[in-house]
Amino acid sequence: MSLKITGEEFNLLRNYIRKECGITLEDGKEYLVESRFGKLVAETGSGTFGEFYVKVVNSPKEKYRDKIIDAITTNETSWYRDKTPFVIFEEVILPQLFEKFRAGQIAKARIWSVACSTGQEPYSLAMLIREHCEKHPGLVTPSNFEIMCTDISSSALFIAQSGRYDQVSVSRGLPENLKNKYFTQKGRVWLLSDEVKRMITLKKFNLQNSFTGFGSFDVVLCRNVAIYFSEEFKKDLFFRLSKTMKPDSFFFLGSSESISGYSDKFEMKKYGTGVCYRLKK
Amino acid sequence: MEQIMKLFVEATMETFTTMVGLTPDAGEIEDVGHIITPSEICANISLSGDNAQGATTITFAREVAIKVVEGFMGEGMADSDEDLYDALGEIVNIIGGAAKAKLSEMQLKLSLPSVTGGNNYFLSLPKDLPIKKVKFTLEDLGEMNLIVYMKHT
Amino acid sequence: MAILAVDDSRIMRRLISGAIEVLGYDMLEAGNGVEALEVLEKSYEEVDLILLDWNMPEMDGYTALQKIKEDERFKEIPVMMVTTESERENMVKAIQAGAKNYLSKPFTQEDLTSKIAECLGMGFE
Repeated sequence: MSLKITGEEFNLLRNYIRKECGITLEDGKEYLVESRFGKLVAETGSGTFGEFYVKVVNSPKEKYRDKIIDAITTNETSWYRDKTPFVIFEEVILPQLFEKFRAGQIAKARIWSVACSTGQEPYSLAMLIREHCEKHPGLVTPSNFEIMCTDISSSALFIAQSGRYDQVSVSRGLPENLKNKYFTQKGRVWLLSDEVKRMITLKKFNLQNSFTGFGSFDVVLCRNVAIYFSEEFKKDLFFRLSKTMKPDSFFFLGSSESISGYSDKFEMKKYGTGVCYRLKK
Repeated sequence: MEQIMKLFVEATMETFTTMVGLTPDAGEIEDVGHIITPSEICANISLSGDNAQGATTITFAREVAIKVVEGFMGEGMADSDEDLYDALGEIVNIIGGAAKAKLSEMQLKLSLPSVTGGNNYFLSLPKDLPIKKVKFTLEDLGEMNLIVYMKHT
Repeated sequence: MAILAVDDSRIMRRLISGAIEVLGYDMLEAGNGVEALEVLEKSYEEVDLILLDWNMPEMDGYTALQKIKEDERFKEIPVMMVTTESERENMVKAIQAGAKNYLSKPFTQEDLTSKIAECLGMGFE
């Protein structure tokens, strides 16, 4: 029989997970714990989720926390997944930022990829920035942009840092011309150029923690991250994110996500078939 | 059977979005008779348990199959027909596996996959069982049909 | 520094090879449990990780896993199951038999690469 979780065990575990990992599992998500934690539970030699819980709380925090997080979070990403944010970035945001640079209003444009996973999202933006700078030579160069990237998964960040992608990963949604321009092929491995890699900074970060010291941003992408978060955490997260955003900035969620009910700091704006959020004045 | 078919459709969607790199558009669930005229290529796998037996087939035109496998492999055309059939077999194997996990109470086991192809051939499936079909549009690649039957007591 | 990929589908082994190459490892391959043990006999000292499918002819992955864990020479090599067998009870069974991690199909290439990296202890900072 597959290992089932009782209501009580689920409550114990989800309290622990909420406290230590900032991820909340709502009622009805028992199946998620059963499917994602089966292996972890067995690994600890536990016969039930109750035993597992006891082992986890009696161990040093670091021992299981990362594994639990890795078990819950999925790394599903691809280049330009749901292309619309990147279209908006290229056609609306970059021109606006360039205007601000030219008018002397800003010296640096800052972008935050909240859940960067294996790096496709921030690197996609970096390539678009380079393209735009090339097409509009002059005052603005890639060094006027800063892309901060956070994620909770250590192994995903490791891959992002390496900038090495395989054949399958570069074939999904990455325009051929960008692939050829910014990657070198070595055998069957595609290496992202140093000039693009240099444009991002990576940081292992739990969104439950404070954003003190992060500064403010012109663009924040928080796509497909909030999926596991509770209503209260989402409200808190979007509130704290709104505080990091400059006036006139842009905020992106995943294509199937919505901000309504979670924050009144943003207004939705449509650009073509895409949607993004602007900080209200 | 309707519910079982929905799970196979989900399994197909998951497989294509994660491993072929495209989002199929699923049509309605239709009933079909036991004689099926597949497209040029079909990939098949059986599932069986103590109280259930069934099978699933995905079928497409050869040129669509080739493009699906290119998406799956992330590179140019498979080196040979053998690779093409291996890949299609693996895809139906993954769909079967994902579906059987959703039907975990049936405790199903998968057979090895097989691939059949040609023109003007038919599949004669078990009579007296509901057989379901869903047509998928694979973005701009073309169409694919998913056929499922499952006998369970 | 090598990773042994065991799967009866040549195509699946090719997909897996992409992730292995990205991480800078060499790949050894086998089409079933019997071949896997033969490869280990010859090359176990170089093998840092074994990726094991479950349903294979000759000898399935679960049996192969047990044999690997029984062998003094091979038992310390971490094993990750990469398989369509995704029911909880199979996962638990494999972990209890000594598998370190489990990746069920379908998976994204990024998930595959991250999980292999995780098994090898590759982390950030």
